[in-house]
Amino acid sequence: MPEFGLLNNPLYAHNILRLVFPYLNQKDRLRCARVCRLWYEVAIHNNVYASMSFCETQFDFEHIFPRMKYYGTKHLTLQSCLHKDQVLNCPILLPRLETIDIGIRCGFIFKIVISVSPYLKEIKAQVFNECCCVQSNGTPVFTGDEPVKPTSTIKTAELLSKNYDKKTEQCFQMSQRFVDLRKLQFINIYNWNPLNLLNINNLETLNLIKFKVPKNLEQILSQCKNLKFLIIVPFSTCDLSDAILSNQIIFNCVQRLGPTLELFTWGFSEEYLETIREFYILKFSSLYYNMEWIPVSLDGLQTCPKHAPFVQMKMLEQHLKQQNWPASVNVCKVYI
Amino acid sequence: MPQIKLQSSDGEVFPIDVEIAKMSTTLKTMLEDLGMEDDDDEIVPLPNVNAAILRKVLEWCTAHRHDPPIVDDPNILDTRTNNITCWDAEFLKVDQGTLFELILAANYLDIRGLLDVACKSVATLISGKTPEDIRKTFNIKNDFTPEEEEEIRKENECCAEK
Repeated sequence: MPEFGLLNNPLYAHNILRLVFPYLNQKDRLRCARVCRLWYEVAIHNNVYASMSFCETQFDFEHIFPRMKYYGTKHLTLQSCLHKDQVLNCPILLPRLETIDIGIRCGFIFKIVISVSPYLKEIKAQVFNECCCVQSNGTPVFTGDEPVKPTSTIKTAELLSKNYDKKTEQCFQMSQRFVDLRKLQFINIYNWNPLNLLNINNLETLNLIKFKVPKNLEQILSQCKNLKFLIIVPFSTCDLSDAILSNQIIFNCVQRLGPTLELFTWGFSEEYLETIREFYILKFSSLYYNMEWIPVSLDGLQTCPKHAPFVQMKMLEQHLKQQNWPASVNVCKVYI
Repeated sequence: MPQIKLQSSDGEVFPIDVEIAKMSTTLKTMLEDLGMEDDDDEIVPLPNVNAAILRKVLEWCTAHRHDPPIVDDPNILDTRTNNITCWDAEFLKVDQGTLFELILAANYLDIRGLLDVACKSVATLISGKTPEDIRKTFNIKNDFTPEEEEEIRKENECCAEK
């Protein structure tokens, strides 16, 4: 064996480590940067800092951020942000940030991110009730003194909320003023004011899971000229006439959106199916067999791919397609 | 079966089946572009690969000639290191120099499967080890000052396992 290994040789180190790095996780790659100066240089050269991912444990922002700033971190994932003060500053510290993915507590991020980061193109955040709009000092971000300037560099933002309540609504209303919202997902919408949707011109994906279908849904959704993907899972009801009415509303609504929709998914919860069962047996009794459920992917929800016992959805689907429905229709059973 | 001849950097000539040669994307493209498939007498020089390594590469290719082709999408990188087959593990029981040369040859010849497994085998030597262990494994001289080392060490503590 030579006195020192081959990986002390710059040519070797660069060529080998460059190929091996993709097979190492971030932690191992950073460990490699600590081996010697040459390896450090190779690690930097291979953008070891370009994409960083943190969890809440042992988070020494102050130490690592200057380095990340120097080497131009572009993608940042924060799995949980318990250190609010530092998170608030991260876009200031990382001016070259292009995407930021925040596990929870997004409310206070929006403002900061948008006001200071010139390259930022994408924000991913999940909103949870208890903290969606609260800044570290306790005041809601979106009603702060400093107005947030609209920015054209942000291409997409997605707002996914677990339970739709007043705070979510506030957060949503404020964010749509300056972010080009492309995707919205709301679950458990008890009190929804669909007028909110009127101004979102570029909305492409709308997931409404478990919600009471408002009478003017058709009018509201017809404003979303760029809607491509729509998922509707109406709220469970025991009242048949309610169920039939909301079905009719959804039906009209999707028919009106017509060709701009690329995929419509109509989901039914177990209880909902129980309620409308009789109705559909009566109406589509001749089409009562041989239907297949299509598995669809809903964030965080399970759908059932199994053979369904009663509603002839496939026929329903064909029926729908004849009447100016979107190119693709999924009908699924949803477990919530 | 049609054959072609490969010449290593140190001049040794290896006649091999075209089918095996084509496991190397580099050779495949070259054969197709130059229309050399029917020409048995042509010798393809490989100035970057010596005879010992080329023999090893051809051994791997011969053993893996019936593998399904790997989808060559850089975004889909199978980074699992626990799925190296017994044959490959045995094949890669070589000294580090040979392993590195194999990686460079696989990269040069663009043999995705071999590159994959050889890189993984180096990755397993690094993965989970402390910098000191890595230095020992690869016999590397630590030229950081203690201050510098401490500075970089702090970075690692806050990163998520991913």
